[in-house]
This record gives sequence, C-alpha cells and structure tokens, in this order.
Amino acid sequence: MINHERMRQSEVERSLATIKAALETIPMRPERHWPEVWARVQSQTTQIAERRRLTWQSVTSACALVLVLFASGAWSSFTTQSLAANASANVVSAPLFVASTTPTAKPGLTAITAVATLSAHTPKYLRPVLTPIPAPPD
Amino acid sequence: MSDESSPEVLTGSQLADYITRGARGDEAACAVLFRYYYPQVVRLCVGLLNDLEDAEEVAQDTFVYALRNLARYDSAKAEFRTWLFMIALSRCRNKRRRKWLASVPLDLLSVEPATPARLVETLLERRGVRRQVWDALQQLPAQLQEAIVLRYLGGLRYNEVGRALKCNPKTAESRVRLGLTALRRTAQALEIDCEMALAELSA
Repeated sequence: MINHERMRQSEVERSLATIKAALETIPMRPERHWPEVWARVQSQTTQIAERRRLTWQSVTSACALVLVLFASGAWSSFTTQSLAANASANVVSAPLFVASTTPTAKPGLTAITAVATLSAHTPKYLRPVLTPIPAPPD
Repeated sequence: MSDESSPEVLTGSQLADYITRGARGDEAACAVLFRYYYPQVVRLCVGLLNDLEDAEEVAQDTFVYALRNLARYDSAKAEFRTWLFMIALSRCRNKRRRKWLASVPLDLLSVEPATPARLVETLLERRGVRRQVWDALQQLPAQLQEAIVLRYLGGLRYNEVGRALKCNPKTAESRVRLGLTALRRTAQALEIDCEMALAELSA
C-alpha cells in the first residue's frame, strides 16, 4: 500500500534539495568581500582598544576622585549599595559619591567598586546629574 | 598575509588550528575560515531573507562578529558551522524586523528591478525549482522557516538545529515536520507531481 502522505513529504524534501542545489550555484566571490570584512574587523578592534583607553582614563579619574574624597573627609558619605544601585541605573557620576548620605563600614570595598564601576562605563555614559538612591540600613 | 589556500574540506584538527590562529589575529587563518564558510552562511541567509543583497550583508556582518570573537567559540557547545549559523540567524531576525518597519520597499522606488533578487529567481528556475515551494518557504511562520532552512539548506542535524534555535532536538524535529506539512499544503503544484508519481508506481 502506498503511503500518500509520505510520498508528498518526500516530494517536498526533494524540492528543498533542489533549492539547495540551486543556491549552491550562486556566484560567490569571497575574495571581493574578504578585504572589506577584514578591514571592518580591524577597525572595530581598534575602536574597542580606543574605548579601553578611554575607560582607563575614567579609572584614573575615579582614583583621583577617591583621593579627593579621602582628603576632604567626604569618603564615608557613600556606600557600596548606593553606588551599585546607581551604577545599574546607569547614572553613575562624580557627584554621586558625595550625594549619598548613609555612612559605610567598608570604605576599601567601596573604593574598589567605585573604580570598577567607573571603569565599566565610558565617559559618554556618565551622567552629569545624579539621582541619589538611598542605601538600605545596615 | 592572506593568501593561504583554502582546502576543499576542513578536517576537525585543521579547523581547530585555524580557529586558534584566527583568535590570535592571524589574518591568513581568518581568510581561510571566511572563504570556506562564507558561501554556506550566504545560502542560509538567502533562504531566510529571500534577497541576495541582504543575505550578503548579513553574512559579512556575521563574519565581522565571528572573526572578532573567535576566542569565545567553544567547540564543546556547538560545531563551528552551527555557531556561525546562530550568529547569522540572529542577524537575519534583526534584518527582517527592520524590514517590517519600512512601509515602502526600496525596490519599488527604483525603475530597475533589484538584480540580486532576480538572480535568485533565475537560479531557481534554471534548476526547475518549483516556485510554489520557494514561495511557500518564505511564507512559513518564522520558527518553522528557520527550522526548515537550517535542516535542508544549512544541512544541520536535528541536535544542531535545536542548538541553533535554542530548543531541544525533538522540538527541532517537530518544527521541521510541521514546516514540511505546511509546505506540502501550500505548494499546490506538488499535488500534480504526486499524482504522476503514483501513476508511475502503479503502472
């Protein structure tokens, strides 16, 4: 007994195989595209390297800021939590560090977070205006 | 230098070597990977986008990303071809999404019909491909179309189709089956051929 359904299915499969064979005859000239693709790979890699350099500058700025905060006695006025919360809201900015009010017991950790947070953001993502996010009570 | 000759078939160890070298920035190794896989990626994209120009653009984007991120490729998770197809698939989806936003196709604005599209049609016709099947393939729901294209135009096994579509192999198989069923229903011309085949068998 002939299985009509199966026959029709294999007919479709044969058509798909023919489509594949037809597409295999598309004239491809990778040598025409390769220089362009490689140039873009190089260009994007360079851009990323440049972005890293910018980020390094922001790390330097963060370190300088931390020193200023230490020197001015404002260091204890921000916390890891508030910093992290603001960072996730993408509103990290220098005034953040003096805007929060809850004192922290872990200045070392906060300093590391400050540097890490700033280094993760290129300057264009740094916002000049900050919305302070209160930290939960310890 | 980028004049290393591309082998007809890449063995597993050759592929691993090219990937390792490519990840270190070796242009010649990247060129070999590009020349070997580019046609496969373009074919997959043509099947999904039905436009050679778009397919070439997406294929190039796929390689720009892949070659820059070769170090991220994990052979334990997927075959290299499947990894490339996953990148291409994601870009094809983005391309289609952007195309939906356009209210007027650009080729309607030009006097000359788009040559790349005609090229695909010509190739299909030259091979005697039933227009209905190709059209029906383009009309399938995205999930089914992607499964069919990965399986039949990409030549992936069901477990690789599943990996590319982020579903299990059984689901992938089911989507392919549903896609074939839909194609069968839509391609009216096949009924005639099927009857002819049945007549030949019973003769």
